[in-house]
Amino acid sequence: MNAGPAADGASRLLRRPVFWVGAVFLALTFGMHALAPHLGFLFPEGARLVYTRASFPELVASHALLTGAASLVAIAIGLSAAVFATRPAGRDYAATLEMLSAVAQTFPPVAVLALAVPSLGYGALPTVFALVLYGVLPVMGGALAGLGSVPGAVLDAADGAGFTPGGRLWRIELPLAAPIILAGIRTSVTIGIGTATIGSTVGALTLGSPIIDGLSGDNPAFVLQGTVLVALFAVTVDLGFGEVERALVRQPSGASSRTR
Amino acid sequence: MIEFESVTRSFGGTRAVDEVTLAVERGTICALVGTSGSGKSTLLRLVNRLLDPDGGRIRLDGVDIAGIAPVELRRRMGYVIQSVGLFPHWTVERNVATVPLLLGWPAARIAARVAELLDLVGLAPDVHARRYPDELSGGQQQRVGVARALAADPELLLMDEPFGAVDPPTRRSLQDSLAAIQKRTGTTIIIVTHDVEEAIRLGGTLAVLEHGRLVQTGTPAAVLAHPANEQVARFFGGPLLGLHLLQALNVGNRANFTDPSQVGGEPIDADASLETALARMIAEGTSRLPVVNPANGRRGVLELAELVGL
Repeated sequence: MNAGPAADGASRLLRRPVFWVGAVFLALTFGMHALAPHLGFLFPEGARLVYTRASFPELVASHALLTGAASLVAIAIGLSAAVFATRPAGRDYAATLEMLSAVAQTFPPVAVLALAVPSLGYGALPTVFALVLYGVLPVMGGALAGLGSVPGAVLDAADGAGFTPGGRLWRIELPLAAPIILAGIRTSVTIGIGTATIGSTVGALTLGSPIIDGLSGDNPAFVLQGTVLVALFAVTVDLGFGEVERALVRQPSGASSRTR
Repeated sequence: MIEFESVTRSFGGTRAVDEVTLAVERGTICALVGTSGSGKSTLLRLVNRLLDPDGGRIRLDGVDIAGIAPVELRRRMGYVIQSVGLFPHWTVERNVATVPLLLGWPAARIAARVAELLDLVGLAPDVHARRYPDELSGGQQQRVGVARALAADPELLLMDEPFGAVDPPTRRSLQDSLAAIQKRTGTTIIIVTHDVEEAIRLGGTLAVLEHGRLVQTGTPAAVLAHPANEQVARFFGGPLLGLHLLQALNVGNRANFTDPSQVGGEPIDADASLETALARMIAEGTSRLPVVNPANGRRGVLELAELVGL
């Protein structure tokens, strides 16, 4: 085996499912337009086979942008809230915060959209708002669980060693909580990709647009195209997070352990 | 030197530490002993300001610690706890380097210090430095814990039942290592323990706590010979207290170095405990043992009658 590290890494990547699922997702995103006309045998006679209101790369980009923006906001809010609730000053609020975000989760997304439209108008904004509301809970739940999982003895030792509160958070608590925090973010983002489709009911451009149009126009071809792409998108991102989680967990090191 | 002056700390309505006044001399080991809930851990945590007292004062070399920022104070003191609390995501090396890193020492000085400390606590740097805590045995983890606490040459080492979670043979060897390290470095140590033998083996001074009150201080031999009350006597073994007293006294205390008559056999060190001497007498079926003082080579004899005589 005289492959260099780069070739080694590439061959390792080729063996990961994220690579294959991601490749299929990209291929369909850019190839759907060419592929769709050949799928007529699947659908009733006379159905329009190619979604034309927007190109699929455009839909995917817009979908990713909406979900990404909402996820960033949700991660920022969820993480800050969890950090606050695990500090001495915020400990009293922990139960309230958990309850609030649990309530947010029980609201159906469509209802949130419907309520948001009068104040935020149609389009991307109410969609992002609903996604943020939905995304916060898993992030905060994961972060609370992760920060709560750091053993008390480790915190005691860190305090005793003379870490500042911020130093303890940054260098001890967050690194140790990272795998569980990441699992929460993974759930949040994956759910968000699925939920974003309903944003198209209030006029946001997402992979839900062909689905909604297909449903209202009785066109199963559009529904299928949107569904397949959004599912592949979610699975690709989910597997991608899986790879990051793998990288975060220290491999059994033996004698030749790597330093971090 | 560390001085407690009428120190009180309550939790809810109960006084966990109640008007404790105590002085620990520089370079000595003071063992805080008592049953669970006697306030000994609370008293220890007041020293590095993990807790602050409700009343009274604690002075470090004459300076009230209430006026020293907790973070700065803690970096000047080592802290070892029973559950060790090594940082699981850091190697042994990085764990030991914790306080030097916080203090911003240059890398070369840290590396040298880490190797020196691992040696000091009996871990081979080339074998253990790059390992992670979960790859070490409980005893090795506690050795790393001690090394981490000593890393920045603390004025004071605080230990909260440091060897409570390891098996007895490992505990003995850790205690021996700690005693040897203390002799070499001269670090002042305050150690909390409910293990009577540990207190006797390590403690130059015992401070006995009961319901937050300091009921007796003194050398192990003095406390065991004259326990302040029934509870103290019971804590140190009740009917078996005499056996613990044998641990607290040396052969040299009871041997006769003027008797010219010589006894055959392997001589016992004058600084071995009387317990060891008694064990040898029983094993060898004899009532006399030859004694040698390793410091000056003088020879003497220990009689069973002297050993048990008070």
